[in-house]
Amino acid sequence: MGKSHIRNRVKALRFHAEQMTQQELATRIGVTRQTLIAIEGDKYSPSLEVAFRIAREFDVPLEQVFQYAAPQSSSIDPT
Amino acid sequence: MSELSFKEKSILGSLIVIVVISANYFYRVFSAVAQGPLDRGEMVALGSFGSSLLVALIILEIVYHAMIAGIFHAQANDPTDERDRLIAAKAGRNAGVILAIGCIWIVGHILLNVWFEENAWITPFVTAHLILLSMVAAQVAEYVSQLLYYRRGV
Repeated sequence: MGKSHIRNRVKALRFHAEQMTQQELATRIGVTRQTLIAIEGDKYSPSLEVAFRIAREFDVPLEQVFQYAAPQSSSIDPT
Repeated sequence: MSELSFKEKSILGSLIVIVVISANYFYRVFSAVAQGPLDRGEMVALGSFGSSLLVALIILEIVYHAMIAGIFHAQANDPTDERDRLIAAKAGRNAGVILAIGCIWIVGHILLNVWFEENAWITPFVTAHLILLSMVAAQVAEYVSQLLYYRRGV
């Protein structure tokens, strides 16, 4: 249950889309409202299919919905 | 803490019921075993007690789930989606691990009993209940896992 490195702007995009409700978006993309709440709260990373459905609903590229924050890796001393 | 979803309410209710019922039953069984070898009459009595608790468990589950489905009927009809399936799969895996550990532990005790003729309390009756206890522990682990995944994320 490690913290996901994927962030999303679903809540912001939903607000700008005429303040679409969670239930409306959830129904359109085929998940429950609870799952959408988990997605917006960074507690669940959706499948690729659901991610594409979300992007399609807002008519934006996938990268404008989801961002991957690579974990900080310690530098490796080659010697 | 945000309000529990319908699924969380359902799982929490089942968890409480199984913990209360099984704790009651196993306490009675192992208390009797601790007092010495059981005769047939005592085992039959424990079996009857267990049967009545099983009926009580089924009734409590039905009543509880009917009650919450009636109160939260809109949420009760929510379909199962990919997150629900993922959580169920992960929780099931955790339950399998607990069950495997329990079975290995029991097998170990049985073999030690056979090889060294110690632990005279490992009778077939006790062995059966240890297996049953492992199954209950696995189910409890599954419920707890589901609740944690729903609350903290998966």
